[in-house]
Amino acid sequence: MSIQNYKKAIIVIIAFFLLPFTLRSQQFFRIKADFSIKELSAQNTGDRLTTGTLFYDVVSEKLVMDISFPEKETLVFYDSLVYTIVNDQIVNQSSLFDNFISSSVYHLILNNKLQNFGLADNQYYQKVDIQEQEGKIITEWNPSSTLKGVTGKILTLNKGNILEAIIFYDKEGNLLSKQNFKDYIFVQGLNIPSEIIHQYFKKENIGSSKITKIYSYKNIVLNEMQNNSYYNYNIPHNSK
Amino acid sequence: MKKLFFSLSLVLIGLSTSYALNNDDFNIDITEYNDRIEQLDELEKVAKEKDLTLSQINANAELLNADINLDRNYSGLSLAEGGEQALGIPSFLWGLCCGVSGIAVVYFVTDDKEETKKALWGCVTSTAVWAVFYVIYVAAIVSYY
Repeated sequence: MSIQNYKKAIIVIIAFFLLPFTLRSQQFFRIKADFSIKELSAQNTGDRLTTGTLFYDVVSEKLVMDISFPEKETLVFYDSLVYTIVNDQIVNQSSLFDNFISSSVYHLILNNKLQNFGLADNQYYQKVDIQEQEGKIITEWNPSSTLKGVTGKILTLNKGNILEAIIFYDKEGNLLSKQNFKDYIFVQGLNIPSEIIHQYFKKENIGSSKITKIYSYKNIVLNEMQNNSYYNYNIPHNSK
Repeated sequence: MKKLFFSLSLVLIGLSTSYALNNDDFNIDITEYNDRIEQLDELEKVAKEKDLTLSQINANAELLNADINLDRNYSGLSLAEGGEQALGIPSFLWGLCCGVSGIAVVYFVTDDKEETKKALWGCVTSTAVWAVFYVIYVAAIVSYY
């Protein structure tokens, strides 16, 4: 074997050993962002503002929202519970559905599943139609036989791999809720919406009474190695 | 014949295309809220600069823009609440009729813990009713033989 071939062999061997590290660098397991949520009702019954910093770790499956407004408190979403913590004491504890965390938009972003809102892996919905309009893809998802007659279709709007909007309908085809995913920013190789607008309709006033929530995200950081105390938040055992 | 099939295909494609939504139908128009959003933006800015909380603002009216119509009594926990009913169907019924999948729908659509809890109770009730029915059924079969 010539020296040239030896060099090639060494490069291939080094590349082979570096491959797992290269692949691992594409995995995302943590997200941190400053957020603000503005909630507006159509009847103007009183607007709400919530601000703070959120931390989510895929491994620990804890979503921590360090809230600065309306009051300084920490919300920890973990397992099937949400804890409200003030001064290292649990002041409130409420139940959640088991899949609350794994269905969250943060989990979908880190697992690169936001482009179809996780529907491609959802056993309760099936892709039934795809249409192209003005360079954008509209995909129709119908409920599986388990849910047929109970719930309606879901439509997603994509531009390339970017999810721009999603619409939920009831079984009669009435509009129930819409979400717009806007102002995507490219963070460490991942496209993340910096604004999500969610509009939904109250049952008693479908079509007239709507609630609008505007989620804004700034200073998004992925795979942060600091702030471990937030990502692996130690939930206190004491409560008031 | 081929032309006929071709024409029919075009008509069918045309019908399916006209059934679809326009891209604009996906958009959420929030222009009607622009003034209120600006007021909340201002509140966000002031609260951050002065490190204010809602209770401090409630205690001192001068801290708040008089025009803003702010809910004076809510907490961060409201993020996990909302009172929505998934697809217009009471959450309890979701859990009752569809079991675990119903709970999934309630969470998936409403993103609301209270509604999800109602669906969970519906699922538990449904399971309990079926368990009682099953016990009676088995007891009836056993007694028959």
